[in-house]
Amino acid sequence: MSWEESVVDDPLLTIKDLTVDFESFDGIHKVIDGVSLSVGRGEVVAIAGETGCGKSVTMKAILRLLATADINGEMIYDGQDLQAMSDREFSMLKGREMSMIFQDPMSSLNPVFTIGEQLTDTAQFGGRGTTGVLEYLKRKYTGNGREEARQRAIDMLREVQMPDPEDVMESYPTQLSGGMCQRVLIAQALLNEPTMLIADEPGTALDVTIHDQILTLLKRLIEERDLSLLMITHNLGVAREISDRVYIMYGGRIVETAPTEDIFAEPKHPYTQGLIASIPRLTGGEMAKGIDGSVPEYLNPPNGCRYHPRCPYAYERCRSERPPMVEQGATTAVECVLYDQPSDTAREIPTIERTRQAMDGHPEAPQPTMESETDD
Amino acid sequence: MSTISQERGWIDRRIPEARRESWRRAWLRFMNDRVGFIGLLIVVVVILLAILAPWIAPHPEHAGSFTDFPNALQSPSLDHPFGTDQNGRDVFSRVLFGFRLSLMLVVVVLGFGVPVGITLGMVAGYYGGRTENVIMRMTDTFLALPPLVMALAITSALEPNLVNAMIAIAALWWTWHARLTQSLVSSERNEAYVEAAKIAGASTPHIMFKEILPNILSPILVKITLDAGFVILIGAGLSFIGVGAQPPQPGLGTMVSQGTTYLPGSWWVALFPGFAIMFVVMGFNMVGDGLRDLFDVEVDR
Amino acid sequence: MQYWQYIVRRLLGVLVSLVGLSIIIFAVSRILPGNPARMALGPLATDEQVEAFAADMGIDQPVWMQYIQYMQGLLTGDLGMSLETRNQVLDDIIRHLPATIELITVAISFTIVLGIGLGILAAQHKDGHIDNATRMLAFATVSIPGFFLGILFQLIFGWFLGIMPITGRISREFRDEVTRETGFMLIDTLLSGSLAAHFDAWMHILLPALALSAAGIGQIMRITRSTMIDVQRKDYIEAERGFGLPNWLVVYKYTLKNAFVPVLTILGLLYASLLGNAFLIELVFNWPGLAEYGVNAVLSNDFNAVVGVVMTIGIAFVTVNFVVDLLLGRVDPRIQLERSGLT
Repeated sequence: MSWEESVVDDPLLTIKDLTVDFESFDGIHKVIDGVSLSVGRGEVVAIAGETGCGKSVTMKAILRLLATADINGEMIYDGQDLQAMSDREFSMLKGREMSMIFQDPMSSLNPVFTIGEQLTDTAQFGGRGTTGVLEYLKRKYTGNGREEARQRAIDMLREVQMPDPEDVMESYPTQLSGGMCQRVLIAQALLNEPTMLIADEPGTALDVTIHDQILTLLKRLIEERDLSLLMITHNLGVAREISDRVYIMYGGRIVETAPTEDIFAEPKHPYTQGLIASIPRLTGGEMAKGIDGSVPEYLNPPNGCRYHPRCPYAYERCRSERPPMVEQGATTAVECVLYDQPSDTAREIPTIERTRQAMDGHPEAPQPTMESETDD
Repeated sequence: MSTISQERGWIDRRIPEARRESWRRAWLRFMNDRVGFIGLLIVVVVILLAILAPWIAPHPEHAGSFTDFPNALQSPSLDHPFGTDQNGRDVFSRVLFGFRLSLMLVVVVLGFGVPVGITLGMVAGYYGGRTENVIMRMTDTFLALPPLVMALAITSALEPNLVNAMIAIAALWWTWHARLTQSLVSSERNEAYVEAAKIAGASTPHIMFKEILPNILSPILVKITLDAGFVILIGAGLSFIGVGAQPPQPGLGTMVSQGTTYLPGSWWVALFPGFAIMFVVMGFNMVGDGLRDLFDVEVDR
Repeated sequence: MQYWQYIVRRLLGVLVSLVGLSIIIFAVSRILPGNPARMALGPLATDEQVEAFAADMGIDQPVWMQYIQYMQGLLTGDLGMSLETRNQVLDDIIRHLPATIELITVAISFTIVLGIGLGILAAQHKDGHIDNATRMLAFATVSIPGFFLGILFQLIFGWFLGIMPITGRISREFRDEVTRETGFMLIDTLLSGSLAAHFDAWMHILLPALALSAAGIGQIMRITRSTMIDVQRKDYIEAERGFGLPNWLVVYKYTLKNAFVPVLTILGLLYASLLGNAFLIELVFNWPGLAEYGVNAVLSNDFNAVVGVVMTIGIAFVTVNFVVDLLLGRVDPRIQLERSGLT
């Protein structure tokens, strides 16, 4: 079985060769360039990478939230082809099967409606995209199920450990703190008992202690409800804390995937190593260095491996061809030519120590063996 | 991990080029926008016609109190493309001179109103507190009166003629710019670059006009363009009532007003000046809309 | 903060506005060069007559005394005598006001219904043919002088097609049937029980109201369109779609209410230009309203009447904007915090 068929036995969501292009005044931006991933039932999967590497776009592409993009590839959810679904069918899936938690809690709640109004509507009509106007008016004003939906919303607020849920129902989003807004959004996402959650950096916008509480809450809810979770994060620490398996994304491509433990124990891709090396450590007393350079632009992305302009191990081959995804056991794969070479021409296999030396500018550190390309 | 991207160096290298590039692009984008382009064309044509009126009008002497009764109320022809009016004057020539009066009004009103409004709004927005309250209270009170009504009252208190109409409108126009500038400045005054300039010891006028003003210029520019059309409309309205340009001056509104007497038979006397007003106002509005899209700012009229 | 606290604060703001308004109008009315009494009486009057008249009007007093008298008058509803009609200005205004209110109310209803409706339509078909067509329509309506549009309507519907009346509020044949009860022709005709007269009143108000509302329709349409598009890009709308709410619910409930905020704000400001344009439209359609009275007062230097009319319009504007503020506070709770801090 190839790694991209399914690294898990029983996938709930499978994405294959996803590409997303945006057309602008300047030309075509190839933002997602052949992403494949899968999420198993009850599995927690993280997509990690720097800001601007295409994580959020991947998520929005899955959820059909990109109106102007050109999306290609295969997306299968629970045996159904998402691309083939009509908007109507898809809106029945959203909210009830697949639900999502958005990045910024403060801006993801409608400022001119009370929390109660928004939650009750979601409880009654979320994932029921075909409900008509008359049905809505009937249910809202004849109290047909309205009270019950409201009660469900309150119970859900209680479940996300919201203090004074009744008061919160009457409040407007601006009257709540960021952490409370985040809890409301989690409650809203879970109201219709979805099977799968897609979360875009939940809690990142909040301060650290609140962020921690939110993650703990999320972890508990996932376990209790046996949810599948696809979580996007730029924070490897979060991925480590919560996920079973990690995809590392760079420049619109998946560059490495492995079970969470393995990826921290033995990162393979130079980019992954760079990410891990730049996690600040409490010991050592020195600030961690970041990886030099920045994420590639998508209008004229670097040829070959998109990471090569920043990679200390890069050589000619990296520049000319896109590296193959090299399997390293059943659930691990890495997109790097260093793992795909005949043993007689073997170049140095990157290790995290060597990568760290390179980042620190150590004299014996690996140097790119070609003229570094300017990326402007 | 989020410290990976390091953009230093990138910024210093690109700023001057980037600025030039963004202006070039803005220009390209503006010209790409059909509405803005057509509007600009209209405005340029009208300005040229107005400036050159004494030389290109077929009958420049008809701009004033000329009479040629045998030729009165002639329908449009090659010699008189817009026909002739009740005094036998060429309507086309008078429309060209009408543009002159309209544009003069715009220049006077905005030339006075914009600097005064920006200065007051800047002071209010920058200092905040009581200064802001007093200035904005005053502004709001002026805003409570429709410009046309207020101009009507002021003009009548003085003496109804074009100069007084200009004074009256100019005396009101600063309010709109004070409002706009104040709201822009008050959201700008806590920005880091303002703080930086203060710490660097820059003088207050320097901070106001050299630091803040360039940053809020685009909405003001859009507003000025839209204003031009609005001022012309109000001037035409005053002339139509009879308290703006006085006959035999070729005010566009005056011409419409006098032409209504000869409707519907001699429709050209009223209709061509009317459409002329619409033409020039539309030109300014289209440019304003193009600029608004370009700068991506929201400005009310 | 409680809603009633917000209302009280806004009310205080209204009071300050009104005082400011009275000062501005007083100042304007007293910058009159020359002698208003002489102007009113004409060149043939003797000096004694002029002096007596001036004393009668109270314009021989020092300015501050005049202001106090003027404020006393305002507060007791005594706006003085019209030099032209020789009636109390207040009575004249009360007689002319209903026609104007009626015209403006119908016009603003057109503005709201057509402006918001077309704006939503344009937003839903962004960059399509409908969008382009409404954009052109908006340019045309905003750029054409209201009085000229009125004249065009008269030409087309009155003279050319001959299907609409072009002046006045009601046809001659109904004039005796309808007695003046409220002063609002649309209501009075109903009270008189004649449906034909009621229909006739509608036919009379349609063209002036449409001409008056045109500019507003264009503006409201554009602002509705752009805010609808803006709001649709917001995170919370994306989130609501993400939760699988029905599309129409997201558009007509969750998006529209947000879009109302700028639309309402503009509507309040628009009221001023509507009042201004009513002056011109009433002239064109021979509509016996406040504006017609005001213009006549201006042209005949009847300054008591001018002051009364301008004051009435100022009060109307301040009141309408107070109502708009209350509505805004209801629609968007954030505004209560924002605005009460400012004023």
